Amino acid sequence: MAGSLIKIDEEIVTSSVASFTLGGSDWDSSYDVYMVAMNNVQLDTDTKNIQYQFTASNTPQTTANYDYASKNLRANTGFANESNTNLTFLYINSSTGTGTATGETTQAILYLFNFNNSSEYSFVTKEELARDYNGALRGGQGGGVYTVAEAHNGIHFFTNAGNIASGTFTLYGLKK
Amino acid sequence: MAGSLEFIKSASGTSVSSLSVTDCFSANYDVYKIVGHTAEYLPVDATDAIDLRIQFIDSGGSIISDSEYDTARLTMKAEAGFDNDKQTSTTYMYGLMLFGDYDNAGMVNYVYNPNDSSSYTFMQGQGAGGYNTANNRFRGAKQIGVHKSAEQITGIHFISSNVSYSFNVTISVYGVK
Repeated sequence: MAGSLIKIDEEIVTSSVASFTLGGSDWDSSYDVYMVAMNNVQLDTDTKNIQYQFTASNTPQTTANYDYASKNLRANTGFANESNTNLTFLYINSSTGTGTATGETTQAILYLFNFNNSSEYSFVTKEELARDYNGALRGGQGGGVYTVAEAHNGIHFFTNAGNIASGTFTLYGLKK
Repeated sequence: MAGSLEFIKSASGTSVSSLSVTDCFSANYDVYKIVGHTAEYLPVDATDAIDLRIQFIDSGGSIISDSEYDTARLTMKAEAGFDNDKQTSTTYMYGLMLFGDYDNAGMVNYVYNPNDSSSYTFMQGQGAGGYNTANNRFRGAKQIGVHKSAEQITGIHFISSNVSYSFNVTISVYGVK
C-alpha cells in the first residue's frame, strides 16, 4: 500500500549557502497540508539563528506581516514565551542563536497550512530543538502566520548573518 | 507513489517496568517517528502514576545510563498550573506518557540522527495521559531532549519512573524517508 507522507523536495546542504528555497519550482499544489523536516542543520557563525519566509510564485515574501508565538523550552533555565508581530520573517530558532561546535545543531518539524489557498492566510506550526552557542538545549514550540491572503509555494530559509553550513531540509505532502 | 513514512517495527510489553525497542535505527533513515500507544497502568493505587522515562541503546546493545542527557518538558495540567521541568547531564530524558488510572496514554516523538556516530542524537515530542481521575489530573506534555555524546544509537528504551510499578505499552517506530 502506498504511504501517505509524500516527499516533494529536498535540500541537502554540504557547503555554505546564504539562503535557498524549499519547494518553489518543485512545489506540488495537490496537498492541503505539508510537512517540513529539518535535520542536523548547522550555521557557520556563532550566535546566529535560522529564519524563513513564505514564497509566492517562487519569490520570498518580505513585507512586515509575519506574526508568531512560541514557548521556548530550556534544559538549563526557566522556560520563556517568545512572540512578535509584523515582522518581515519568522524564526526557526529562538532569538538565542545556535552555535558551531559539535552537537550545536538544529532539528525541527514544521506543518504548513492553507498554502494553496489564495483567499486565506497561510499558517505554520513549529516543533524545534537545538543546542545554542553555549551548548545549552533549547526548543521552540509554537507557530506563525503571514497575514496576507495569498497562495504560497515554498519556504525560503536564510540566517540573520553568515551562512547555512550543513543540514538536510525535506518537504513532504500529506496525502488527502 | 511510495510514501515517505515507513513502518520499521513495534514492540509491546505486558506487565513490564521497562521496554526496549532494539535495532530500530539504521543508516536507512535520518529522522524517525516514535509512537507510544495502548498503554495500561497496572498498579492498584489510583492516585499514583507512571512517568515513562527515555534512554537510548548504543551500538553494542547496551542501554545508555550515563549522565549524558539534557531534557526539558512543559507539563500541562488540566486542574492546575503548568510545570516547567528541566534537567541537564542526567541518566535519562523526560518522557511523554504519564499515566495512571486514566488507563491509556499516547505520545508522538521524532528522533534525529541516531545512526550518525559523529552527531548527537536529538528527540522531541508530545503526549497525553493522566492519573487520579477523581481529581481530573489530565496531563499533556511537550518535550525536548538530547543525548550529548557523538555515538551511534541503535535503539530506544523506556523505563517506569517507579520500577515497582508495571505497565502495558506498545511502541511503534517509523522511518521518515
